[in-house]
Amino acid sequence: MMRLPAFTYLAPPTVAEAARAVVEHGGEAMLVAGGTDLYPNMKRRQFEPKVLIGLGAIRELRGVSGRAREGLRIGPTTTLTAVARHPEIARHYGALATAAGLVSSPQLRNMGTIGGNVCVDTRCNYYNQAYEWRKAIGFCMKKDGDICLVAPSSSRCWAVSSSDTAPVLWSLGARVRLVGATGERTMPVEALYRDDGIEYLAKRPDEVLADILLPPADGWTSAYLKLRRRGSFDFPVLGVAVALRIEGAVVRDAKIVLGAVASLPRSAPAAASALVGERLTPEVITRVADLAAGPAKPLDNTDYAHFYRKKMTRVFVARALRRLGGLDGEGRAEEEVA
Amino acid sequence: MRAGSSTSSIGKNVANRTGFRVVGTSVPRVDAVEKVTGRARYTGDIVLPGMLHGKVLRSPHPHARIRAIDARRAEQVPGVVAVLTRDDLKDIDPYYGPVVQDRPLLALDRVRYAGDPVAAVAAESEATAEQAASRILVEYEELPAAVGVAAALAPGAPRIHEGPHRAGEERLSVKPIPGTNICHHERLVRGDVERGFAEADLVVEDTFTFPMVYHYALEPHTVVAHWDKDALTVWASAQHPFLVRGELARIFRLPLARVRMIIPFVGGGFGSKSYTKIEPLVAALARKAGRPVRVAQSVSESMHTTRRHSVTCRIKTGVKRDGTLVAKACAIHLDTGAYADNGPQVANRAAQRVIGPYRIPHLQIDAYAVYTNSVPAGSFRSIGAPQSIWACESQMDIIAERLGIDPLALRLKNVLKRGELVRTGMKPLDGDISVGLRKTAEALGWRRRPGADGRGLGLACGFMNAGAFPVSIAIVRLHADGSATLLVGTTEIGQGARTVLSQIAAEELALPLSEVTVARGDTDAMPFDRSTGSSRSTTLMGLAVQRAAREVRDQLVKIGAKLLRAPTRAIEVRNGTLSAGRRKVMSYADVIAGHFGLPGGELVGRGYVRPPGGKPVNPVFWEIGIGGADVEVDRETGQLTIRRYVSAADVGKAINPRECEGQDEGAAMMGLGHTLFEAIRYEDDQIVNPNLIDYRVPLFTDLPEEFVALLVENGDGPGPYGAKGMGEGGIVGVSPAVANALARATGVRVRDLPLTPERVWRALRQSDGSKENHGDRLSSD
Repeated sequence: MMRLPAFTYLAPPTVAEAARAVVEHGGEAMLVAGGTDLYPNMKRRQFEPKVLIGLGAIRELRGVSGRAREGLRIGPTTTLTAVARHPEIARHYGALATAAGLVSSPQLRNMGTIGGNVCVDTRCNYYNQAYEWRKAIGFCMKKDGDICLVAPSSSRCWAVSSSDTAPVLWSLGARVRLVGATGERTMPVEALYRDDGIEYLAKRPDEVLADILLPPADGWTSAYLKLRRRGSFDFPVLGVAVALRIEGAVVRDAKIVLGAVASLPRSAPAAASALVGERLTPEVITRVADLAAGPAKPLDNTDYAHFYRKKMTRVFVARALRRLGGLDGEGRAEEEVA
Repeated sequence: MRAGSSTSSIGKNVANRTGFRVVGTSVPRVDAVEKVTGRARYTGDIVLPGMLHGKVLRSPHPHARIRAIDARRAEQVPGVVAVLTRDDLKDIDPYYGPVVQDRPLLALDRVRYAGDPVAAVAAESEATAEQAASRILVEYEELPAAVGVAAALAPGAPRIHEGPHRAGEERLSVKPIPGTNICHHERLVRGDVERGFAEADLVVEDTFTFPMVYHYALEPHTVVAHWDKDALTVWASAQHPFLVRGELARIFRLPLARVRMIIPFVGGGFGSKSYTKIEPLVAALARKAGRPVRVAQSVSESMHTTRRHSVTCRIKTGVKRDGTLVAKACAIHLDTGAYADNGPQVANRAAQRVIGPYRIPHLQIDAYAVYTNSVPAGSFRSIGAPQSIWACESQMDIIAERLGIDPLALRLKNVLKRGELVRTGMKPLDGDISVGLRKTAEALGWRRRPGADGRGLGLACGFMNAGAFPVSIAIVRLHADGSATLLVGTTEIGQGARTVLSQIAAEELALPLSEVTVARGDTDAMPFDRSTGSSRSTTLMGLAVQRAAREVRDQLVKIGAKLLRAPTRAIEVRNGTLSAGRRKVMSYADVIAGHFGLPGGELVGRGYVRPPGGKPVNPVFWEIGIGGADVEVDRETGQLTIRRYVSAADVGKAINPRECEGQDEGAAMMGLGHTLFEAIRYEDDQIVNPNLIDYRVPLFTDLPEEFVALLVENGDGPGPYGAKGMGEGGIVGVSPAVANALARATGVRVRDLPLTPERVWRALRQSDGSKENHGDRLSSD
């Protein structure tokens, strides 16, 4: 690993000033929050910004406010540890606390932010390597090269969305507020993502993620399961986020969103609608799990073969549903490591 | 993980019976406070006046001829002091290697793996050195490469080394197969293996594979080299400083007395710092720069420096219907990488260790160390053993299943007994394996029905000829105030050697532990020690320290007797004093002052350990490692969860029981790495996971829920107080124990490591499929 290259660090006190700084420095600037992903990537020369605009000094970006009854507002530079431990989040948006608590390791969750995780760079075995390694094997199109080493005939990049919190936020119906140099907009979190490993965010460079807004939690329960090789530290190679509104024993509303199976989180609407009006019986769960695996299109560019990850999608969706339906007698751990 | 550990009752409390004070007690580590407060200094902490920082340029190609190297652009970078290339090595002997001297300190005519050092830069800062290294122009002519044993042995494979190399210092007669990439062929034969197979009622044949793995010592290889006229001083994270000294002296044509190795604290070794690694390169760079140079490698660079041998092991065993083993034939191929390093010895040990601790009349074992265009493989905790015991002990369970015999019973039926001949010319077995096996099985709850709840129990054992070459020398200095300093060449690599050796000296000198200090490793001051590895230090250096301390005590008693006017046999040595009756008492300080006639002087004792008549007993002792696993299988995902792991080590006598348990636990957890998680993967002739994000060592979340360490203490080792070495045995049983447990839980046998969920899941699926098609799986093979 190389050393961190030289750069200028700016610490604007407001979101507006941060957005203006991005415009001022053009393509040379990047935003940074916790830096747990960006700095190692800079050492490997995946990014070579001349200017970093730190968001840490902007007070309005940090902290959780509101009540689950009316909906919560999460400041994007709230650390993952704080999100995971927040009582209101843990009680009413359980999957989000789970997902935040499963990112990397305790030390990195103390530095890493939820906004950073929502915007985290896509990953690929051929991209997340040291500069010398990439040079030796031939650069890929995501950085310094012009072909995809996973799918050489492809005209696009297949790097994988590796956020734990993004699929959960989508399943919970979260919205995000972006503040740019020339104005602001609020949109559903899923509108933030594009199906491209390089341009994976539909956010202008000058737009700062200013708010993560959770809708009222009433009646919803949620679960998140993560597949990775070890019990901590590893990025997801499959994430399953399920949110259900159950009345009596009948599912009234459902969202299923998959992480780490494509360049963006993938929802499984057919599976979700097959749940509506049903009770969570073993038969229903099996049918829905089969449908949910459909949108999972993993490639062989992360840990584990794509075939296995696709098969595990079905297993994990079924497990998440069993847990939410109270069919999981053993009271399993929050995470499935496989 | 619960640290539920207990000590076996065999030979228990020898300490109490014989009245030890310090030996046999779990005193805290003598260096614990230094380490946890960050005061302990490692090689990387060394700062010398004028010191430069070095960076190595490595080959991007697996195999290429070097046409030209142009370093001018690098030399022009401000802050660069020297660029070392092959042109600077003409007045020295650039080749080194413990068994065969096949490795130049920089690539000369060609590179042999992606990562082979080609040039090095010394500069005022590490960043400058790195930047400058990337500006060196190297013109390569790419050659066909052979990554992996299959490629290296294929007809028409490129030759990775031409011609014979000089032998290194290790006394192993190397047998290359001319015209091939096989750098050593080890063959063991006993009886007539074909006759044995003819006599067998059942012959089973399996092929097992073991992946390339990396040691991951927390501290990557780090070296500081400093020349003062024609004397060389090297600070290094080296396990075998005296062997490195020998190589450096030969390379730079210096007398041993002008090469000084200083070994500060070492952040883990596990064999990755055995023998000579980057020391010659850094010394050559410092020589050219004319200033001290520090090279601190990154993890990725160290992963490109050394690794464990990946192995394919074909194993064929003949057995009688009642379970009696009659014949075994093995072909073991070890991927030794671009340079031999310790590979021929690893092949030698793999051949010996694949047999297992069993009585087998007919044997033919062939082990081949094969050059390939990949990172050179070398020593790694119990060389050759985890790979070969993985095959041997997995197959023992296959045999048990085929014969319908309990796997424990099959082992007990065939296991060698104490005192039984292992092989001609070797020391008979000096431990009791069957007792350890029974204890392990008991701690697992062996009699519980397997498989019923997706859980299975598995056992495995191994025995290793340990101790390496038995030469260790110690000096004990008893100072004027009665405190003592040990001069020992043993490297503290985290194994607790300083603590254990202090305990031995404190015991013998009747001093409190706080009065004993182990001096820092320095070959100018320390007497020779052959190496730190092969579980040898407690046994061999322990014995040397015991002898040296006794020599001091004898002197003390003799002098004290004179001063106290009492016969020597009347002198009692206790707690820093000599006494002859209640009235005649003198402190050590008084004795020394009385002897020298002033408050000063000191007594010096020497302890030599060497093979009698110069011919070593092989081995120094047999290290026995036994493992047992209670494994739960998630059939939907293939995930294995280890509910309990039991490790039994035969330690003879535990000088420090807690340290012994810690070593055993550490070894077993390291074994968990290659069992469940770790593998260096090559793709396009490059390592695709040369970092700690993608190379996955187990973390706290991945440890067994419960770990039980059993220490077998029979006082039967050749070391002090009947101790024998340990610390490697715990690693050997993990893979077969877990795979055997998996097989007993599910009927599915996996022959490749690591046992990732994906691999297990595929095997389960395949088995479900074949059951549907062919009925009973067992009847088909």
